[in-house]
Amino acid sequence: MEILHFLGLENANIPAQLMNAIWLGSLYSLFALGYAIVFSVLGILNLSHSAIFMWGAYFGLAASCGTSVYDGKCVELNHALWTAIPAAIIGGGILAVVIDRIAFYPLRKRNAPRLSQLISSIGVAIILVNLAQLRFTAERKGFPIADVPNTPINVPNGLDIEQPLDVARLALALVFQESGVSISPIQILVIIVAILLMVGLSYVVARTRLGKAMRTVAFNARVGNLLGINTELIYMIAFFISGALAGSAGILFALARNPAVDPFMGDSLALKGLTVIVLGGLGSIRGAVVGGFLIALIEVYINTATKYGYLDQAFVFMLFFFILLVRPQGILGQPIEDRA
Amino acid sequence: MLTLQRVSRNFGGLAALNAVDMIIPKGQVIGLIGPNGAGKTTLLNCISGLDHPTSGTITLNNKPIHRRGAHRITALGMARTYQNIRLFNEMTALQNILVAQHQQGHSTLLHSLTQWPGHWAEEKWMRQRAMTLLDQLGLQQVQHVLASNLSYGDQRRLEIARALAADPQLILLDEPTAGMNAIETEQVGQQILAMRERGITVLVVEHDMALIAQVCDAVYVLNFGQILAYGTPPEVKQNPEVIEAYLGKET
Amino acid sequence: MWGLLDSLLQPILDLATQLLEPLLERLATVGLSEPVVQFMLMNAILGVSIYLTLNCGMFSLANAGFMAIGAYVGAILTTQHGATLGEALLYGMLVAGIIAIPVGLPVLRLRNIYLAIATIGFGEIVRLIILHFDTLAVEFRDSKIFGPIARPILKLMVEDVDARRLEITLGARGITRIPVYTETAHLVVFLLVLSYFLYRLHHSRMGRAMAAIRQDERVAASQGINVVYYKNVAFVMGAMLAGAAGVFNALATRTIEPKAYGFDKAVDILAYAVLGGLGNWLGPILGGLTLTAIPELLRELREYSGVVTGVILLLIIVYLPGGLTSLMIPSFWRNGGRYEFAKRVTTAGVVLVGLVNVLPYQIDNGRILGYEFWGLIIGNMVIVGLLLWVRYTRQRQNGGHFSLPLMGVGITGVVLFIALALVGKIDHLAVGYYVHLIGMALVGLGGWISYPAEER
Ligand SMILES: Nc1ncnc2c1ncn2[C@@H]1O[C@H](COP(=O)(O)OP(=O)(O)O)[C@@H](O)[C@H]1O
Ligand SMILES: [Mg+2]
Repeated sequence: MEILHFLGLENANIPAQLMNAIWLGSLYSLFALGYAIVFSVLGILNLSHSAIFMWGAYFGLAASCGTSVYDGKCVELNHALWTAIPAAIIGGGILAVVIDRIAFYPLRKRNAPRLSQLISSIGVAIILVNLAQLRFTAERKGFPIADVPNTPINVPNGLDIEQPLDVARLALALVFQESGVSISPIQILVIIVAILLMVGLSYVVARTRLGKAMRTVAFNARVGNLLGINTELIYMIAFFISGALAGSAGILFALARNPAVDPFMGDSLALKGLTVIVLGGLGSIRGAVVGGFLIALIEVYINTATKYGYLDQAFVFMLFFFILLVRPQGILGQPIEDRA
Repeated sequence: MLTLQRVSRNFGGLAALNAVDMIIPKGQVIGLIGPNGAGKTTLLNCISGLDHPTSGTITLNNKPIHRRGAHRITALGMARTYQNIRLFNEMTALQNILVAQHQQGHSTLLHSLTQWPGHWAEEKWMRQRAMTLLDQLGLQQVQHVLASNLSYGDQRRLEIARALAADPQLILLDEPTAGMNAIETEQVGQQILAMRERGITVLVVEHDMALIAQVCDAVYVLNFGQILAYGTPPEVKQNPEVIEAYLGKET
Repeated sequence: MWGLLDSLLQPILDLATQLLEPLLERLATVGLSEPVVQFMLMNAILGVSIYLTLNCGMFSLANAGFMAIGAYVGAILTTQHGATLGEALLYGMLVAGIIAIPVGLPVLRLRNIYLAIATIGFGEIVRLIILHFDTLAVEFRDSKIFGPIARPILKLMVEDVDARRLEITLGARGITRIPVYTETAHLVVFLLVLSYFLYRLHHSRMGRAMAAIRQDERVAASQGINVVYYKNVAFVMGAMLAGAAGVFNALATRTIEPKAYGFDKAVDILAYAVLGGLGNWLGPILGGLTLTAIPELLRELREYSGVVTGVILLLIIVYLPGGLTSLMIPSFWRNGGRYEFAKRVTTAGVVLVGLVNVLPYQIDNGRILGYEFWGLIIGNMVIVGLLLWVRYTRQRQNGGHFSLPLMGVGITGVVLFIALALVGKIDHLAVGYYVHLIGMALVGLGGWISYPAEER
């Protein structure tokens, strides 16, 4: 208890805040994973990642709302809510592959310096954000409030035991009620989807032939070529996965914070995602996941336990800055060899 | 002039240099030979401050230099060339030399902004000096050509000119004749002898034994990061261990 | 001291104002109103500020942060202390430069992408600190440890340090009612002085050292160049310039808010330098001017200005990595004495053609330079396309000379513009038409002169 007092947590609802950090962390990790994959396989820091995130949300919105989102608000769903998720994943993946072909492939062929790729990714980000603004206007959009189950589960009052969804709610409510946690079904969905995608990805990378090829190309593209690996195909897959992760993070964010879809929704995450992968170690997949949860934890901690909640972003960036200076390889990364 | 004591350099598990002892007396031309991967370039890097030994000491005129940055070692009168040519490719031959005279100049940005008379005198002096050097190495024709557009032989010669531009007492040459034909190699030999005439100490890494025999006072042989032999060129040539290192053990 | 400087500068500024007046009037007719021109000039300064670091091999995105520092220092000094533009400029640059020293020392040890993201982090920290400055100031003032240090500093910023709430940067609302002191003449004179500075820098010992560091840091060190020192000098100079641009900006717009100096601005600044090209100090100036002017000039495309900026950035980095200036700067040519003349001729041609495009085309009801909008656009698209093609294909064939393609471009340009005049897209009585023809002819002539004698 002493320690809680020291940390300023004696009045905090720790399980509730932990839950908060977990769902936020899942989102950050999901987003940062995509960044990290492209960085580890191609050595590109793709700053248009946050724009893919934003477009993912629009893809999802358009998929379940239909074309009505083009001009106005989404008043009723044309398709089931869940269709938004696969649409965002596939849309984001394809978008990322297209970006690679347009903005990175020519530079790669020319053997341009890596910084050129950073600049061209910035160009793509500017284009994508402005296109979204032209297409959908700057107005914030979202799913019809009634259709998104994001009210926290609190008192199991008026639940219909016949309904399977309500049974699940009741169960969850009973579990979390005890500990005073309030969490919405959509937040649980975020956590579940994030965990599924992360586990799936680590399985692919660690266990399959594709993963092995990816790791070889990441280590050294020339070696990969010599071993008969089609490096361009691997790059394409890496971009697809990266875009899919960004898209999924986008749609989950849109659902959890409904209404939250606007052309600038990726802005704050662009730099936070960068912080996450720097913290975890640039290009480290595990690092991105750990970093995501860590950043979320820090944010939640600063917001609940100190009176400096308004400075949470500043703290995160100070940490980021500090880590870069003392340990540029991140907390989980390998030491960087100077390739001069 | 230059003394190395038990200099070692490890890359991860690999000992690229292992307790190397070496003495380079003032005014001499010393050769350094050894099979590829023996650690010759690593040794030159450690001496010139581009790399630092894992352990051991290096002294130049009795000053320890193994912890110093490269620019501070150059200030003590050392210059070098590179095995894989590393010229400033976006600059012309002349500009490459001008850059290398950095420590010979004193004019600051303020002098340049105010067009201080001394600034002009210094610029003129630097240009003249650079032209003389280019002349010496037969590069005056190509002074305005970008370094990347020079022929291979010219690039190698420009590397030597650039090293000389820093006005060194000790110069390190890393395979200065690699890829050159017999006539060009001969010219480089003449250049090295001319350096000795002027009192410059030379450490030269070389594979061409004829050139070594022609210019070197003594030769060190390096193998697997260790000094294998030391002596005059004829002595070293006959040393059975050296022959073995180059030709492999006869079975 | 100030008095003397003032009396020296005032006649120059007056002269500049007089000379600028007709030019500004003309520019206004094509949509470049005076505020727009001022922004173009400020952005040119910003382009130079990032160029100084890039030119030394450092990819730093910290300049928007330093600009913010300059802007807030300028705004606070003028609103709270009644400072003049000169004073604000001096202190804005000083504060930005002084902050750059402790930031640069550790950060510049990083390279490449690591340096880029660390400086992005720095920019965000600056923005967030400015955003929450007032709350932080109260915290520090009331803290036992920092209070004694914070008070005298805060005293410089507000009259009543002990007020319950401090209003210094005013958070997201920003500082309003800043006096408007910045005049176009100030910016023009500043930019001219800056150009002189850059020109001298390039031909100085320091400038050569910086170029060497950019090309090969380690070799530069072993040629006796103190890499850490010069990198920090370049970083501080860049910060001071960004600070100056910030002061000008604050004293031109009446209102400033932290949002304007975030990551987006850092990216814009980078875009100026990339568009103009880094081979030459003219590049970032040209880049800052054009990229700011393009959305204003293409009023038909104003809605798409953001997209246009992005597309330009992408096209340049992919197809013209040397930027606009690489079209006319020596690296475009095979270097060597006997090409010098040809180079001058062609450069003169390109400059003439460029002038026709930069100058307004509607003066005197289209009589002087009278182009029809689309005639101009189509004509130039083709020319630029050809130059790009020349640049791109010839670059790949190492050592290929540019003579033939340049002759091709010149002839095509002449024929194309005659054709455009024949179909009535260009007024054949207009002066601009002939300037254009002469310019294109010179381009072709340069190609012919540089044609290697042995192949002639
Ligand atoms: N930066 C480095 N990292 C890891 N190993 C290195 C590095 N530089 C050199 N080596 C290794 O050290 C050994 C000696 O290399 P080098 O000095 O270049 O040999 P030489 O110049 O005699 O041919 C080689 O096995 C090489 O692979
Ligand atoms: Mg070697």
